[in-house]
Amino acid sequence: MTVSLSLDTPALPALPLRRQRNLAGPTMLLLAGGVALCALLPLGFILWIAIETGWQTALALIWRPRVGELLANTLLLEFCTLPPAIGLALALAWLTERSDMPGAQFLSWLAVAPLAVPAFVQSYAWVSLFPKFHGLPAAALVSVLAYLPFLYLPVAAQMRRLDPELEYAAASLGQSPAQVVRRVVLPQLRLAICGGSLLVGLHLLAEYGLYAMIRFDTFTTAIIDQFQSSYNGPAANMLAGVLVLSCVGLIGLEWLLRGRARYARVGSGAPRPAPRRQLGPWRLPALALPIALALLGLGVPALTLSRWLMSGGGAVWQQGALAASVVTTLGYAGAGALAAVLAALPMAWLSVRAPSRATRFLESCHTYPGALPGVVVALALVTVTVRVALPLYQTVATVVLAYVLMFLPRALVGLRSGIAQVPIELERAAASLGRNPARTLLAVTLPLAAPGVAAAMALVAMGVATELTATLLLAPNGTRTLATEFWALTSELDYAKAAPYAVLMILLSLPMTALLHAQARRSLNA
Amino acid sequence: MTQLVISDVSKRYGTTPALDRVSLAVEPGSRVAIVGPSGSGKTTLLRVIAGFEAPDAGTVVLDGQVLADGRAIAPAHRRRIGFVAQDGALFPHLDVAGNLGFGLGPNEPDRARRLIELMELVDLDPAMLSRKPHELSGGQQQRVALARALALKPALMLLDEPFSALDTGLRESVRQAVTAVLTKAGITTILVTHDQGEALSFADQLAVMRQGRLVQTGRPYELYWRPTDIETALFLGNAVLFEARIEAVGVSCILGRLAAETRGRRGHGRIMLRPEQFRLSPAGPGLQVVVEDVVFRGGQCAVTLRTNDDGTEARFIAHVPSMEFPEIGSTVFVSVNGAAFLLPEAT
Repeated sequence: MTVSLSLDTPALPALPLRRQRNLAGPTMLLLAGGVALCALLPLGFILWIAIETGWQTALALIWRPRVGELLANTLLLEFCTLPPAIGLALALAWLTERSDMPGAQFLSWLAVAPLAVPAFVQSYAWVSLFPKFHGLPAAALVSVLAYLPFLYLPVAAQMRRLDPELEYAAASLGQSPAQVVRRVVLPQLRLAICGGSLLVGLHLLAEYGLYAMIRFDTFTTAIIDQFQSSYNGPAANMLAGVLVLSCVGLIGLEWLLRGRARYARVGSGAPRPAPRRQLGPWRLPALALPIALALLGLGVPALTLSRWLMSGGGAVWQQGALAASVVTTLGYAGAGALAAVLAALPMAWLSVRAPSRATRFLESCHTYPGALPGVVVALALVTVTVRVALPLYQTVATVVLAYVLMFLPRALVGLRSGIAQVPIELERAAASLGRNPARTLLAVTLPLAAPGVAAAMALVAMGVATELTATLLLAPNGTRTLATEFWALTSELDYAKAAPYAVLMILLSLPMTALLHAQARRSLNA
Repeated sequence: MTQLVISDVSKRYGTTPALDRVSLAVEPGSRVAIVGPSGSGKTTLLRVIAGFEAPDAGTVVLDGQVLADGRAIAPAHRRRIGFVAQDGALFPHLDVAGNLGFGLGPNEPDRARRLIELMELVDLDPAMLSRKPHELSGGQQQRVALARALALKPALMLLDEPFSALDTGLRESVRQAVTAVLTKAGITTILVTHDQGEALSFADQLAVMRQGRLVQTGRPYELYWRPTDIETALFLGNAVLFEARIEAVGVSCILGRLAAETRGRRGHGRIMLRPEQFRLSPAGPGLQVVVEDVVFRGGQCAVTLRTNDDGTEARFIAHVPSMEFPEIGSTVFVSVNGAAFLLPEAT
C-alpha cells in the first residue's frame, strides 16, 4: 500500500453540549395514539348504539325472522364457499408449486389474476351472461371464483417454503407418502389455510355488490337496503351490530382453529427448494384444473365484457360521464392513499423503531378496522357526522376518512417494510460522517424508504379505486366514481354502457395483483 | 494525535446497568481493544463515545473538548469521530463512490482524486467506485466502510466488531490491512470485539469488560500472563489452575516447585499456567503423568494428562508441538517452562 494521502486531523471546533432531546418517540406515540382513537370510532359506534337503543328495543329488532333468515344465508354461504375454496386452493397450490405440471409459473399467475376483477364485476359477468343465475349456488360459485386467490396465495407461499428435509425425515421414520402429507405437510399449512379462510370469510360478510347483483341477501345487502329506504334507522344499526358480531365470531373461530402453535424452521440457513413430484401420465390431464378455473374466473368476465363492448361499439367509450368518473376516481384514490399513508406513518415508525407492548396494542387498534365490513365503517361515519358534525355529512373529507380507516392495515404493511429498509445503523453512519439529522433524513432515510412508501400508497389507491360500499353511502350527492357509476348503470340493466367502467377498474387493479403475487414470492426469501 | 479520556461513565437501560463507572484513558495514536462477552457493555461504551447515546453520568473528553457531561452531549455529527459498524452499514442506495464521498461535500475540490486515493489507501481497485455495495464481497464492504470513515480525517476511529461477519481466513487479512492503514495514518483507534485472539493481536492496549465494568486494562502481554482474576484468565485463553503453597521463593504444587512472583504473600494461593508452558519428555525431569487423550490440531496438539499420583488425581491439558505428540496411554514427564502466575486473592 503506497499512500500519499495526508490524514492530518484538523482541530475539533468547540462544540456546545446539549441534553439529547429524544422527541421523536413521544411525538410519534402521541400521533399514533390520535390515529388509533379515530380508528376506534366504528367500534365506539357499535357500543354506543347498543347502549342507546337499549336492551328491549335491540332484542325486538334482532329477534326477528328476517334476521334469522339473513343469519342462515350467511352461514350457508360460508359453508358452501370455504370448504371447496380450501380444497381448490390446496390442489392448485400443490400443482403449481410441487408438481412438474407444464407452465406452472404461468398458471400460478393465472390463479392469482382473478384478484384484478372486482367481485361485483365478476358477478356482473355471470348475471349478464346467465340472467336466471341467482341464489345460493350462484353466490357460492362466484364467491369461490372471486376470492380463491386469497387462499391460494398464502397456501402456495407456505408450500414453497416447506422444508423438504422434514418430509425426508418423516419418510425415514417409516411414514407412507399419505401419512407424510397428513402428519407433516398439512399441519404446516394450517396457518396459511386458517389465515386465508379468515380473509375469504370476512370478504363474504362484507361484500355488497356481488350479492346484490346476484340477488342473494346477506347482512351487508340488507343493511344497505334498510339504509336506503329509511336513512339511518335503528334497524340498520342493529343489523350492523349483528354483522360485527359475526366478524368477531369468525375471527375467534380462526383463532381457535389456528391454535397457539407457530411453525418456524428450526436451524439456520435457507431451506433447500423441494423437488417437484413427477406426475407421469397425469402431467397433461392435471392441467385441466387450473385451466378450468381460469376459464371460469377470467374467461367468463372476458367473454361478457368483450360481448358488451362489441354490441355497444365505440359509443360506450364516448360517454361524458366515463372521463369524469375516471378523474373523480383518481382524485379519491390519490387523496385516500396520501391520507392513509400519513395516518399510518407514526404507527409504522413506532412498530419498526420502538416496538413495545404499548405499540403492539396501538397497532391492533390500527389494524382491526380492516376486518370490519366497509358498510359498518360507513354507517359509523354517517351516524357520527349526522349527530355530531353535520357540516361534514356527505363531504369528501368523510369519504376519505372512511378510506383511511378501511385501508390503514394495507398502508401499515407497506410503510413498515419501507422503514425497515433503513436500519438505525445507517442513520448513525451518516451522523458519524458529519450529516446533521435533517440532512440524514433527506440523504439516507427518504431515498431508502421511498419504494415501500410508494407501494403502500399504490395498494391503498387501488383499493379505493374499486371501493363501492362506503362510497355509495358516504360520497356527496352526484359523486361519480368508476365503481358507483358502474353500479348505477348495471342497476338500470344498461350492461353495455357499464362495460367500459368494468374494464377500467380491472386495468386499475392489475398492478396490485402483480404486486401481491410478487410479494408472496419474495416473502419466501425473507 | 488525539487523547481520549473517559471518566466514571455510567448508563443503565431501565433497571439493567449497561455501564458501571467506566474510566479509561486512551493515549494518542494508540490502538485499544475493548473485549468482553456479549452483554458486557462494550458496544454501549462505543456508542457513548460516538455520541449515538448519552451516558447517565460521567464525562467523555477528546483533546480537551468535552463531548459528554452526564446527559448533556455534543451531537454525533459534529464530533468528527469515525465509526465502522459490524456489517459496514454501507448505504445500499449509493455506489461505492457515493458512499466514500458521503462525508465530503458534493463540491469538494479534488473530490475524484480523493476518492481514488481512499480506494488505494484500503487496497481496493478504483474501478470498483461505480459498484453497488451488494456487488462487493464482505471484506471489500468493510474496506469501503473504513475508507468512508477515513475520508473525513477523523480524530478518533471506532470499530464495532468490524471483522466478525467475515470468514476466518478473510478476517485475518482484512484485520492486518486495517491495522496497517490506521497505524500509517496514526489515528487513535478503539476496537470492540468478543474475539480475544483478535483483541490480543490488534491492540497495544487491552481493556477487559464484564457486566458493565472495566475489569482490567493494560498491554495484551501483561493481561495474558498476569490476569487480575480467573474469569479474565479464562476469557483471554486456555488456562490451567492449581492450588499451591506459597514458599519463601516461588510456589510449590503437585508439579513441584515453580518459579513465581509472590509479592510477599504467605500461606496458600491459586496459580495459573498457560497450556503452552508445559514441556513433555520421555525421561524427565518433571512429574510423571499418563497421557489420557490427544487431540491433533495441526500445528499443535492438545494433550490431556492425568497425574499418576496416588490419592490426589488431577487432569489438565497441555499444548505441545504436534511433531512431538505422545501415544495415548503412555507415561511421560511434564515440566513447566517459565514462571507460574500467582492469581491475586479474590476480593
